[in-house]
Amino acid sequence: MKKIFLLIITVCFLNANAEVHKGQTYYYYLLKDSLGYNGLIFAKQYSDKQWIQLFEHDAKELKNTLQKENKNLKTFLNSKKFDEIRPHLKAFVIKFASNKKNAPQCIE
Amino acid sequence: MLRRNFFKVSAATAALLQTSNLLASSNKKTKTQNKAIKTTVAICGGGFAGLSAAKFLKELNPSLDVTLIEKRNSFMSCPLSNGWLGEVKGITYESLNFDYNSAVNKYGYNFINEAIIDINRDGKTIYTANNVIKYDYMIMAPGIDYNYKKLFQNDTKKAKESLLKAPPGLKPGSEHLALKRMIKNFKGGNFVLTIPHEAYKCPPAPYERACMIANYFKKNDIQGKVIIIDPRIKPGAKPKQFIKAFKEFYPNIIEYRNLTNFKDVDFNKKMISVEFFDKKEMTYKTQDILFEEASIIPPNKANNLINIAKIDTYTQGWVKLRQPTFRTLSDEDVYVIGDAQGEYPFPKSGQMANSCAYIVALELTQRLKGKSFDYKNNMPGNVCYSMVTDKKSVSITHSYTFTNKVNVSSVTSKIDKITAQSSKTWYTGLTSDIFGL
Repeated sequence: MKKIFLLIITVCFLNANAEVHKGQTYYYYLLKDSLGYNGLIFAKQYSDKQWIQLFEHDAKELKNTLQKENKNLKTFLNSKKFDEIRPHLKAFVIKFASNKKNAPQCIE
Repeated sequence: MLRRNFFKVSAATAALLQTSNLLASSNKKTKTQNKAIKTTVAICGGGFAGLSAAKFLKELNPSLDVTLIEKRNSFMSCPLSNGWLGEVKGITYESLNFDYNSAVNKYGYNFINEAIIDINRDGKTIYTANNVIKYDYMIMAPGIDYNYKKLFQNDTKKAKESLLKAPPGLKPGSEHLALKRMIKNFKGGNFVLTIPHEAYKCPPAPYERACMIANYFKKNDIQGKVIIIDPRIKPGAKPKQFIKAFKEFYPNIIEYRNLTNFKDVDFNKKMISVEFFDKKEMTYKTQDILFEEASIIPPNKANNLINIAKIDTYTQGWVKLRQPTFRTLSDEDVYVIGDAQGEYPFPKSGQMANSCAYIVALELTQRLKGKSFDYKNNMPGNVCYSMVTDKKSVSITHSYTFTNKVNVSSVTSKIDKITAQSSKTWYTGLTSDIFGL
């Protein structure tokens, strides 16, 4: 129960200024081509708890994981730009995480 | 109670609707002391979903006691309403509006023309200003509400001002009349349409509306621009076709601003503040856009009746259902269909409402006989038409299968006159059917 409470508080705090749709945009323009799959597939790789862990300590674990997929991402992942987009990216992936039932509308 | 007597009582109640609604709003918790009416299936909401459910239930089981509860005393269609806004030939105000009498007479369900003021699911009781309705099963088809709090936080004054001065036009009635007046009186400048980034009723509606307003400007030689503020990378419905239509038919009129989010509005300065994504600098920047008229669509959520009934919803405000059914997670005897559901990736459209209503009617009819129902092999279907000029439309059809989740496939038509004709045929067919014409 305490863990769930802390998870909710963490998500709320970190999402206070982060915007999901910005995270989606940043993923589309800055990561999609390097990783080769769309934002929804990216988000569905992990649960919300797992994403929070990946983003801890300046997203250290996430950076390692993504660099394994494409080592050319190293420079970008350690740039100020990535730091700028990180809260929005986090908000986006948490919203569409594997354990979330957010249903995209009207798939075409 | 006999159907005819029941309808007479409800017709008398409808004649006092204005007074009873005022009383209902000022004495929200006051409940009638009238004797309870007993019905097997109560349907909350007389839109496409509710009307379809009532009709299908009576057709499948003519002896079934069904009661439809609706606060409005006439029906106005959202489908084809953009065509009316754009003065498309053959789409009149009259063709969008229907009385409930014909449907009630044809299909023989009970009709209570009052607002619902409370729902007690434990007691299986619905309260209106003048009636108490006890049900065995409830189908809720209440539609949407606007979530202005997500736009303006606690600034309720601005929320009210936005609804009045920049009507969203997703709830039928006065919003459409206001938009019509705004378009007819438009002399020039920017007409701004803003779209929320989360799910909203009728995905193609804002894009179709932009086309219809632009078409009106073109036909009447009005020096106006229609600016679409859209957070998405591309239109949320029929994207290729709408982009093609904007460029081909309205190159100097429609300005489609993708990756652009509505942030605020100043009605005194007639200015909308936005954030747009600068692709060169890969960052969001702010901008102010002046307007003469605007239609600001706030984020949507399920109608407040869902909260009154204490039905569980997802964080955006859409209803949780037990997959693969339309039964709510909160209560197995309560179904939710139409725009309010948030369990499945079904478009919030008139056809989808009708299709899902049929499935629920089938299931409930079987359930009342003590039989099971195979939801997974009875999936809904959808067709959705959008006008892009006064003579041409585009359509999309959706079909669904269920494995461990809902899977969708879709086919989009060309933009042509045949599709425009089909859209009118579809509309006439659906409305004639549910209104018993």
